[in-house]
Amino acid sequence: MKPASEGIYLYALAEPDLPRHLTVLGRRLRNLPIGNVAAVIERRAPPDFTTEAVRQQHAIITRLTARLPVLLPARFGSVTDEPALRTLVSRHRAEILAAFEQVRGCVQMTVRIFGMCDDVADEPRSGARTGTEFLEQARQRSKHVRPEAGIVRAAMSACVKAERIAAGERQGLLTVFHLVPLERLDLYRQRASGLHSMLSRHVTVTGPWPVFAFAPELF
Amino acid sequence: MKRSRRHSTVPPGRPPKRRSSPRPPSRVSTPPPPPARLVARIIDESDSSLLDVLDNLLNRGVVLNADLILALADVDLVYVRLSAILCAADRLLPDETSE
Repeated sequence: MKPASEGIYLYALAEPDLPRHLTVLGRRLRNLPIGNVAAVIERRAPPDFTTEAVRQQHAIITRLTARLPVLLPARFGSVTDEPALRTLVSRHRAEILAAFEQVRGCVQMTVRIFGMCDDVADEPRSGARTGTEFLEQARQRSKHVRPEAGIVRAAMSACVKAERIAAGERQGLLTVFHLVPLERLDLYRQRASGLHSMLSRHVTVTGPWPVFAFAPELF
Repeated sequence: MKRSRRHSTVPPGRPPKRRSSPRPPSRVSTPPPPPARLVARIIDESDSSLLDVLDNLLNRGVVLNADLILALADVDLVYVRLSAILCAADRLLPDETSE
């Protein structure tokens, strides 16, 4: 088995009114129009799975977000061919256009709450003997909303358009991704500075970022 | 005494007064920057740590691609193109918390 050969590497989806060619951090990207959606692509083999490659893609997405009014980042390593990409975009067109509207004029902020899990429901990999059991437990865990998430929601809901919660790994208890309209960013920062005292845990708030957590799942 | 006439390209007499062009209207206030520029300014300010980079880009999983070629005596018999998502199970569940 060898790494996949050259194909279309998808960085992001955007609205169609962008230049045909874009050079970002030395990489020659292309706009592939698919109806009223533009795929920002590069003809290349998929990148190696290294920290440098991940950092570079993050930097490219950040630069693109700075240039374009709306951008939905793709998963790392998304390589396909043109017909498959066209089919994919056509099939998810409504979802993509709705996501454009949702994220327009917004940035992502990330709240991380650190600390050990106190309750059994969050104990990862507790006694799963088969893969099915493991996945079933993961599904149950994902449905369990920690009380900290409720506190964050109550504190931040006035300045947030949407949220996504991810269970933390190891020392991370919880990660909450917020979609914040630009005009509410100052208010968001003000309120976020009070989270530490409300939760009595170590809390970090980072951003603003491109809207990585709010792009639709295409692949 | 006879004066010699010099050839000149400058017409005699005073030059006609220039018409003053209308002044541009004075700016009352600077219009607010368009949202894209605002995003550019705000996002450029942020300093990304490795944790943020990995979390942002890999949180929803990664796509792994590979070509699989089954060959016998240097003859390629079967070609399979693999494209797989590696992702935590709970990341792919529908999100019920968004507005």
